[in-house]
Amino acid sequence: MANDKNYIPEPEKRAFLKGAGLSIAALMIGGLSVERYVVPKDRGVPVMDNFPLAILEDPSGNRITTDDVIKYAAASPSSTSTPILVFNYPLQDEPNFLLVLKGVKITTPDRSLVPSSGYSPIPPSSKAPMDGIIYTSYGGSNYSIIALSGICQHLGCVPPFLDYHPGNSIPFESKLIGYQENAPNTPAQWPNYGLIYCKCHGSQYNPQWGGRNLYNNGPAASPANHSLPQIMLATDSNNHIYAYGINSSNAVIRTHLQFPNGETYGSQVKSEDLTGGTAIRTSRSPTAYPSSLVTGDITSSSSAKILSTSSLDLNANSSGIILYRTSVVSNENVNGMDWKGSFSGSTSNNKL
Amino acid sequence: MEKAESNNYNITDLMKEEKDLPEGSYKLGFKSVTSRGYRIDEWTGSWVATALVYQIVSGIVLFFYYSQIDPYHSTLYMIDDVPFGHIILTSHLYMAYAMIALVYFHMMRQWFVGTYRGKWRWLQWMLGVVLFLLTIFTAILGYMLANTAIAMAAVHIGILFMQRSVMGRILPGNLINWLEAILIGNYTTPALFSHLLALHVAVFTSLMLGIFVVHFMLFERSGLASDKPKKGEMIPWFPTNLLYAMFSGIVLVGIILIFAAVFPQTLTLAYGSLAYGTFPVPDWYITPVYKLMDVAGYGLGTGGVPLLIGILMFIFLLPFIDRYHNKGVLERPWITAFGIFMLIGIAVMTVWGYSQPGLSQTRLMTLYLWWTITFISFITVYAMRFAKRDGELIENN
Ligand code: FES
Repeated sequence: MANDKNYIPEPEKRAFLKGAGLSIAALMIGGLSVERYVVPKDRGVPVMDNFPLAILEDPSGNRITTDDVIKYAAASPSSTSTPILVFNYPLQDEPNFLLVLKGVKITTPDRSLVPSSGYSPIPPSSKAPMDGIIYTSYGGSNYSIIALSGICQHLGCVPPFLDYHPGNSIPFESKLIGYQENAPNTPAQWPNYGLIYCKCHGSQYNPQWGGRNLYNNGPAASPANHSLPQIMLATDSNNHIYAYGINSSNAVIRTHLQFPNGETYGSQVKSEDLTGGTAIRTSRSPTAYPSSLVTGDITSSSSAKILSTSSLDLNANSSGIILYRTSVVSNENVNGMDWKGSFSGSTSNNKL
Repeated sequence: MEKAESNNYNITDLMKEEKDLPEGSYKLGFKSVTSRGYRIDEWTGSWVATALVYQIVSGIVLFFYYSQIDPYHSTLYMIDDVPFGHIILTSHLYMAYAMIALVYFHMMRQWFVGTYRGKWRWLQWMLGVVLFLLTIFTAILGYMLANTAIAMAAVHIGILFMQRSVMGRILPGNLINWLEAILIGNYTTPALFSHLLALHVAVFTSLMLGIFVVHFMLFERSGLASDKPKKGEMIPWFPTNLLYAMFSGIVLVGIILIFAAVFPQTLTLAYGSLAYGTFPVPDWYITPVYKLMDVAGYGLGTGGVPLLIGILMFIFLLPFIDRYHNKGVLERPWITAFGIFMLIGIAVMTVWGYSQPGLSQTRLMTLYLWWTITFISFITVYAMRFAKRDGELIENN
């Protein structure tokens, strides 16, 4: 060994290994400490102080009314996937469903239908009220319009992977994993006004319960364990629809868990929801903001709740509230009825 | 029966000087091989290398036209308006598919033949596993770049994996924040795509190239596992070996270009669009992992992530797990059975994941599936061993 000219003496080898080990340790510790130099300063900082007040428009920029939405929904059959309406809120690239629940007025989720166990994610003390929904009467029946996040609470799949099945048409996939529509002991589990089903890994949400996540105790557990965030909606005197916030008793938008162990419910929800993204566009006519908004039953003032926009927790500058706008888009054509402004934006790109 | 070579763990031996060179010199050599070395199954690595070179060349062309400000439309622009853009983009995609398939092929070949032991082959195998992971990660990053609906779904999944999986729970918060900042920046659209682009074209690619060079040089150091150099029978590296590598590489490129011309790629839905009837499915090399999550945890309730980490660790440490003294396929029954398990598992998961992505399975179903595959893998190996021994007995009588 010793007279081999390639022989490297033990102590030298040890020194080499020690040096290598030390450098790696230094790199790791250094990496941690320079985190603040390599992470952009605006990372993890909300892009606005408060939720924007956003008016809902069609893709050509016209304001939409509750009638438009309900007419569109009424034209679709209830047994298949509905034409889903989607808009971004509170930031760009944050899709939400604009859902119409047919034949039902919902002000608060029907608590009697919510089983007392097995649905733990919503803290029992919080009511997760359906605040901000609008319901009205159209053609003799009632419709509730609600908005729920279109970002799955499991791993963040978006429409069309996350999909709304109206009525009690339970998707085939959901049945396949073991739920029976008329199982004697589980009727309460079945949503009566549609199911939001995620094709990615099978998470299921009941829009009637404020986007509550279902079936955590089923034969094949729903992978998500939080409810879908609910966007609060209101109308003005012209029945234009506004989004003005996110119900903080529901979970934070799934892709906004900015840090590990960030809060899923509670006080941090607002700042987390507004962090990591780009603000939506502001209105072309910045002065045109409403002085008051209505949530609740817009046809009977007794149950309606009037919100004064100046008292809402909104972004304001010296000249008043900033009005933002967001486009409501849909898949192109359902039963011959086009969504307003015939959404041709991105779908036409698919035809290559 | 051929005995397995023993490993050399003394990395400093790599720095041994060559005897015929002046003292203090080192040599990175290209070795000549015997004619046996020109067997097609000895060349799986050369195709992977060709694929890497092709990806770099076609990638540079695509890089000229890609814009992080408007990723989807710049991709459309490449398809519609750049001369030869459509075929370059498509061949870049298909060569990525081919590269992953060839990496699997290359890996499984070494697995069954048992060439991961001896000299520095153990190290070469481990670096190979790292290269395998880098290839998959680079492919996924490339697939995110187009800003299609499925791409953004993958981005969301990537972020949530960092935050919420085993990783996010074990590693310190600021390290995760750093890693996330590397992947998505401050998460505005241009920042996100600039980061993805940099990772795809620079960071992961250079890592891959660097490790590939070491992997290749280790190969030249150790030589072909099954080749016994003999005096006078060696075929010189230059030009035979080089030309052979180049020509077989050109054949691969030709095949890919033909496929690209016949089946041009269509871009799937843009993120945010809602058309029904066109439901994109993740690329085939992701579906096995994806399906693994549905049929989580070998039916043991451990979840898919630990199972995946377990399988990867097994592959990574294979040279040390394989303690059989002999080299042959049937002389290493457990290792071969695991190899067959991998092959069946990957094939089943890919096809199943492609036809029923994201459909959760009941635990019972999962249990049946995994144990059936396990059973089949072991039964085939032991049946073949039995048959071989039987044959030998008959011959001897
Ligand atoms: S992302 Fe929706 S179930 Fe996994």
